[in-house]
Amino acid sequence: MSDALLMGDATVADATLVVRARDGSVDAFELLVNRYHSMILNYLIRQTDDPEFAADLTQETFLDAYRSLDRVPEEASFAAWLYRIARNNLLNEWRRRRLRRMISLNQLLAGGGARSASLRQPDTTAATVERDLIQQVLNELSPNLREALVLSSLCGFTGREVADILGISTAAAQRRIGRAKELFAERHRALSGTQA
Amino acid sequence: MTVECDVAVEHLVAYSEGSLRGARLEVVEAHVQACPVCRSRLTDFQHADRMLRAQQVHDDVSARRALTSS
Repeated sequence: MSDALLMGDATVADATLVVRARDGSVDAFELLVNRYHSMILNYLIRQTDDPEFAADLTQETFLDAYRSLDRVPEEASFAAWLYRIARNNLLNEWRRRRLRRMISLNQLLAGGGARSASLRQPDTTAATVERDLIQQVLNELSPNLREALVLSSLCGFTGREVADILGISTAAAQRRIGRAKELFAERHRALSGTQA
Repeated sequence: MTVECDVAVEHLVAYSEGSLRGARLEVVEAHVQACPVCRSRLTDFQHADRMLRAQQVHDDVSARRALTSS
């Protein structure tokens, strides 16, 4: 099958596209990007609550994936492998940011501080209010539960796939997903005033 | 959730995803019919899925804005 045909066929398996991309087909890799870009971006937005930061990390994730195509495990799903790269990039960036925050806090304490100019006007459209409410509930969950919930409910991964991405057993992933969904539903209903 | 239940949460998650098969599916299905605790849990699972999946479109829009403004 030519790369032009590949581009028009949504049923071509990820593994086939990975082999083509590894052999130098930019079209094949572009199709993989088109398949997973929104999913990775959504996952990172919900994990970070920062769309611009998430967009940068998404770009970095696909660049890393392109450079590492020869390391896609034969037996694992491409999606799970890609999410692991996104997750590692996120964890690395959080470590860097935490370090920077500690440095700037020290500078602030030493220098007396300056008032932040980044105070935003609140956006009160219904969609934004709901989005913020959901993010608030997500932020109240522990990082482990939040991550499992986002991968399951937002990205649509099964418990087995979430286990693969997080490097834990399927039963452990399913327990996190179940607990996270219960806590999320309970808290979301309480804050939004809706009934079960 | 304070009430103990025979069905482990991991099986209920697998059931809600549609990934249970065979005898285990039958056992969990029969249990869910009879157990209000598990039905309540399943309602919670559906609530979380519905709320977060509805956000996906919104996030896509936010993400596109972020990409085009960067």
